[in-house]
Amino acid sequence: MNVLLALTLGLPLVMALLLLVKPLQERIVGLLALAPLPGLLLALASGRYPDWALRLPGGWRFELDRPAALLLVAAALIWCAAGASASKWLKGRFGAQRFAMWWLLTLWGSLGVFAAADLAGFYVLYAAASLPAYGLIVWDGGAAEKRAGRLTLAAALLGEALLLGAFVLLAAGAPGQSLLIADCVAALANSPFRDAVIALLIAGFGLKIGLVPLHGWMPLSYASGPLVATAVLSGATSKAGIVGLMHFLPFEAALHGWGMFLLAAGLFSAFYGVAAGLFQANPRAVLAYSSVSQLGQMAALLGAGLAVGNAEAALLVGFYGLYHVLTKGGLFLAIGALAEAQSARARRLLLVTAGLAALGFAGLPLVGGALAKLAVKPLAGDGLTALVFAAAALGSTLLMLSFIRLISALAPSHDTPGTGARRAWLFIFALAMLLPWLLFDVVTGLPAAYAVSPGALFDLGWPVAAGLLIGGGIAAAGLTASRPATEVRTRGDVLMKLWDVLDHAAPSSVQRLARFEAASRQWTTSSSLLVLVMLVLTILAGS
Amino acid sequence: MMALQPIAAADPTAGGSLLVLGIVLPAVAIVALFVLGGRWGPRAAALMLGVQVLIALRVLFLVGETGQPLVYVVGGWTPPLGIALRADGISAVMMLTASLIAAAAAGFAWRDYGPQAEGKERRAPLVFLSALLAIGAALNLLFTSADLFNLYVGLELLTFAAIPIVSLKGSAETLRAALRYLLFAVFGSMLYLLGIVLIYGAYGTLDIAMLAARIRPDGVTLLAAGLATAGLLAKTALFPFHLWLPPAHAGAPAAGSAVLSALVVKGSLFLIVRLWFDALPAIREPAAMQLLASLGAAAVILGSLSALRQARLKLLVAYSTVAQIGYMFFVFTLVPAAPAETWIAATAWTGGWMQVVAHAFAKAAMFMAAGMVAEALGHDRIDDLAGLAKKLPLVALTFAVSGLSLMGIPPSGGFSAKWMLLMAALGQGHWFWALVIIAGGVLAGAYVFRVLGRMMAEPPQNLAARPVSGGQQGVALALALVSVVLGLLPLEPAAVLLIGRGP
Repeated sequence: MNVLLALTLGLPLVMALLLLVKPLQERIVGLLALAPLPGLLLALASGRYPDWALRLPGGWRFELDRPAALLLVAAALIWCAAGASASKWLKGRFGAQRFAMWWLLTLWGSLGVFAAADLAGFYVLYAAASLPAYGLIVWDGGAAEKRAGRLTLAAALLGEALLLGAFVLLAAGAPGQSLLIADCVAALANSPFRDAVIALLIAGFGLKIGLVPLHGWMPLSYASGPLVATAVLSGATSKAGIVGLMHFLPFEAALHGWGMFLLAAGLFSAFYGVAAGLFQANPRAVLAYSSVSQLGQMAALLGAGLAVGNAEAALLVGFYGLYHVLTKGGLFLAIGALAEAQSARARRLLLVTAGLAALGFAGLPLVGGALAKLAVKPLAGDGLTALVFAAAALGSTLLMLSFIRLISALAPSHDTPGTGARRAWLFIFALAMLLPWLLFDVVTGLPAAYAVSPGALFDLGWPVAAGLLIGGGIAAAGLTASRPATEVRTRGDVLMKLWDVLDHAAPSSVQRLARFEAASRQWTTSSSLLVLVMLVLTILAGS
Repeated sequence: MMALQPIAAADPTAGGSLLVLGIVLPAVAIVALFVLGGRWGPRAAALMLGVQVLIALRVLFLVGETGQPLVYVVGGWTPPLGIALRADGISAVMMLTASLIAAAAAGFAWRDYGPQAEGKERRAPLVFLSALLAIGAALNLLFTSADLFNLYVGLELLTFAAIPIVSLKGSAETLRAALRYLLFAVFGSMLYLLGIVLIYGAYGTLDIAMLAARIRPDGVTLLAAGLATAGLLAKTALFPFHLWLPPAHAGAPAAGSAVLSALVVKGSLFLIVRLWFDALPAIREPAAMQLLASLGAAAVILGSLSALRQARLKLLVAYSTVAQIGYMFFVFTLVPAAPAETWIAATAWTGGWMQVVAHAFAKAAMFMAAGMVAEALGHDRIDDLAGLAKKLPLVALTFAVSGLSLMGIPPSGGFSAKWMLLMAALGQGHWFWALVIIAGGVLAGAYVFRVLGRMMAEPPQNLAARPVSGGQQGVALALALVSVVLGLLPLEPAAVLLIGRGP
């Protein structure tokens, strides 16, 4: 029964290879929605058959645990919906085959990474979920897209480097030769390199999930490139970082210090994302900062679990993530659908559904997101931490109100071709509302009826209500004058400043190094250096 | 510290004559090439290149099966009077690598340099094939010699066989590159020769095993070691002695560049390892080894940065060789004593050789891809590569796959090599080398993506590309795939690489 695992990993690659065959290209571009289906089936079946494992030569191993399965269900669905829309949008378009190539490679990594159970397999699939995104962003784009793509690629490469260091130290600190993630992580708490490994892991995965201050690439990346691509990048591939934290942090061990650090860093991200997002006039940038905030909350919840040694943390955060995958990806599709919607009725339907789903991030009662918030309550605890999470929910409400206001002001464009984005969004919306209700009792052990109990309704309701009040007050005071714009405001972001400086300075400093290299290629320099090295070597060998 | 059993004590082993065949048969083929002429000569050469692969396979099999080196004593005279050939684990692995890549290069070049029609013979095919055969013979001599003078002969043969390949195109530019290479290589040979003359004067032998037993850290020995090493560094083009490499490797025809970058620089590298690990193990001072590794680190960083800013694809690939050579020098400091002594030492040793082998396959594939790009588009300007992936998808795929190995993305030999070197570096607390290894991977990612991004970009209107032979595309892709398959080997010390180096 490993067929599904093999297909999940194999089908996207086979389709990518078939793209190289000219007569099949058009057919493959039309079938992008097919590629994630084995992953979806695998995730659904894994609840019943949890012991599947696929072993490949070279010590590679793939299996799917329950937390990752939750994320995989949602990721496969958003890839599927966005894929159907992408196929339609690409039809007859110049460069469709190129786009499909990057798409399938990213898909391969994005879904496969949930099932990778050994270090090498995880490393390559994580890379595939990160690096080819460059091609999706710069495809067909101008200078702004190139800059966003370059920045995304730089963040991905830096993340890979940090993770490579983490993985090597992880393996070096573990007894025995096993490179399975579970074996290495089990030995992490007693590893001599424990702190270095965890610091590298948090930095590496933090880059992927935009943990402040490592988030600068995210708003630019999400505001550029085709919307279908942003839908899967924001919804699905960002979860590679979350699944990394889930699989690599030693939850059994209760590392209080590191747990508290991650909790604090995540919460800081949660509030920073809200604050920075409120200044944005581009709805895509608002969603990006909302991702910074939401992914920060997930990291914080994992930190809380790590601090007390709660092994359930991964499962609960997986459930929380499921809603985010669908809704965040879906909202980008909704932006696309709004641009195509011609009638007032169609616009109204889109705005209402998008509004409900968006406020779900804040925990609007009865919406799917409310169940996600309820599920993670044991991690957030009660007392001060719970209050802080509630405050984050209040912030999310404000941010999402701003998003709704911006998209409702978007003018419909009259020349966009039908891309099926509307249908894709409504499909995803229905699932985002439904799936949390279906899965709630499986994940938490509580009946779904708990979500409509008065206590739960109050806990969830007051931050949203307070947010709505404040938001209404701001609107009434007429403080929300800005119109939708395309610019992304990153003023005040220190690392972005640094990046810009580096980006400008890089050519000249590389030039300087190149001059040094050119000087070393002079005959006299090189041969006198040779004699020098010879002498120094002689002296050192005798020392 | 004894790395080798003295050969005098060991009898010639069964199959030892294979080592002689590995050196002599290519020489026979060169003669055949000229006697048979342009129509049948190339076929004889191709046959011999195939036989070389079989010989290498047999040698590797015998070495692996017995767990002992193969030994052949020429003329029955044991050292120090006579000359012995000896293939240990690393020799056998390198023989196989070299024979496979040489055969692939001939296959790649077959359309241009293969059999010719009667009556219009050209000079280039004969020169190319005879140089290729001579490189094969020279490398086998280098890999199996157990005597420093014999190694010198192999080294010289290798250089003089490589020069014609550099200048094969015959343009003023390539002739200048060849001359540059020749002068610097002769300078290097001189230093090496001076070094071994000093050693012979001090010890009365150049047999590696005997030297290992007698060596003492006195002034003459140290100076000799310094001279010989410096000479070899010049031939290996380790930064900052790489002045000859980029023009030479970028100017040769694609199949030639592949052999130069994949194999020829590895010959002198192999000799440096032999020198320090087998002949002079007693004077391997950590400080001196760190100097070698530091030059390696400079090569990794500056070579990659230079690659990043090249305007031409072949030069980018050549600078990537400058960078990748650097990694191999980390072995000197990451293997503290004898490779077989500790698990960590054996891991670093395996990682180093994995880097040599994986880089050989990946770089050969990459140079071939670059050559096909130049042939199809008529230029190799990176900025004007847009649309190539559409016209020649397999060429772009070859570049991507070999690029992944250079970046160190699994599954690939490049990843395995970096992984094992990193394990060894961090396991011994050498953070600095680990940082350089990781930074090198990031920079490689940057230069590979720079090319891939252009190749995958929107093609300009009416992009004209000449067709490229399917066979050539197949050969290059196969080599790239070998670098991937190497990544499926277990990430642990390989026993075969430790054969012949003591307990």
